[in-house]
Amino acid sequence: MNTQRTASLVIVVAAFAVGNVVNSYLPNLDTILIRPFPATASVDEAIHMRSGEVVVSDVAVSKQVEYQGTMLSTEQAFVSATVRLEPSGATSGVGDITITGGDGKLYGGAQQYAATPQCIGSQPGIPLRCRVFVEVSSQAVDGASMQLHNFASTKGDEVVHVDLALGNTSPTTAVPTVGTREFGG
Amino acid sequence: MWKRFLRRWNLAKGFLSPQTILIIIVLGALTWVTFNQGFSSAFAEGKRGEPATFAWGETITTGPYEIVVRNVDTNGTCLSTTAEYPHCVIATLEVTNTTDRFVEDPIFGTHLIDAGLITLHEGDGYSPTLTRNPQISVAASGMPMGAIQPGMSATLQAQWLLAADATPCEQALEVRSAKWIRSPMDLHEHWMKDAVLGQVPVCSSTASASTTPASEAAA
Repeated sequence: MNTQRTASLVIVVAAFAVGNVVNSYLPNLDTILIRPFPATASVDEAIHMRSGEVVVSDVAVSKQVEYQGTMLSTEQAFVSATVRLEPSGATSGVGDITITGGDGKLYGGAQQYAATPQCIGSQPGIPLRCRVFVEVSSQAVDGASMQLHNFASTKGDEVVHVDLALGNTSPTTAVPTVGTREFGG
Repeated sequence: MWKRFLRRWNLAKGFLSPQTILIIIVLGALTWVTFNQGFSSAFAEGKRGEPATFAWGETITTGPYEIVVRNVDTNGTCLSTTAEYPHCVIATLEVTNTTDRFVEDPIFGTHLIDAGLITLHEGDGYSPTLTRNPQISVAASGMPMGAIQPGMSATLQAQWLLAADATPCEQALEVRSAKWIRSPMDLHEHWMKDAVLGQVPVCSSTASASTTPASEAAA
């Protein structure tokens, strides 16, 4: 094998290696499909999602919440809020409500005694008000934001990030009632 | 035949000979296999290490969790204890979520027990009798657990029924590590069991025993 052939061989193999590395950094179909469509909002600000119009209000931080007549306690903090949804075109809702704490960690999922925070089940044009709660670390309250996903699609769909504007909020002594749903409110 | 193929499609004209192209293809394939299969597999094997034996009170890092076996009661009472399965082993576990996101449903979901991160192991192999009916109770605090939030801990109990001819003290809890995978079916992320980290003997309690020095115990 002469020098030219050897050089060609090295170049082609090097090109394969470089291509392999580049390919590993390129997004594949899976990562594209799960990429969210983010939007931002603040407390008391109405924002349109595919599900309908959503407003987050009455944000509270507490050590205790009342859920279906049971008092739940935490050594950390409960962040509770009212989510108001007015479905637009079909029976819909907001599902898998999570909180990104000021510490950058993701809080959510099924809570004590309660299912995953959601606000679902209303008919088009009929507003639904849900009182949801998520247990978070005390260090996560400052700078926390709430994420609202379109129901039943936590990936590759709209997600609204609501700045809860909590700052260094101390837990309230009041005990918010959570897990409630009110129609027509 | 491949020479005719290459010449027909004029792939080697004026640059590379068919022999060189063949060598490139072979070397390229070998390189791909080596880097993508061989090295990564060897790396994964290297990370797994040898299964260890853990005592009660020792922290076992599984991936999403740190697990501490606080107590194992070999004489417990399961709700569904029968004459066929008279022994009930109840392990009290303290589970800490060490990740940056909540871990869903550690009790009723498929993470710790159902996915086999913690199983009851007998000798050199699994016993269907011992592992077929793991049951999870509510957390020891009396609160049914949901997700474990990042940085937080939960205490829970896992129960296994043992057959009449089983000897509870000859058993060991086997702990596996876990890894995130994204299901190609639903594009959701799941924890899946991975390598065996080690075993926790059911009737051995080094950490527990160390809380009472031998000299004091003798006295």
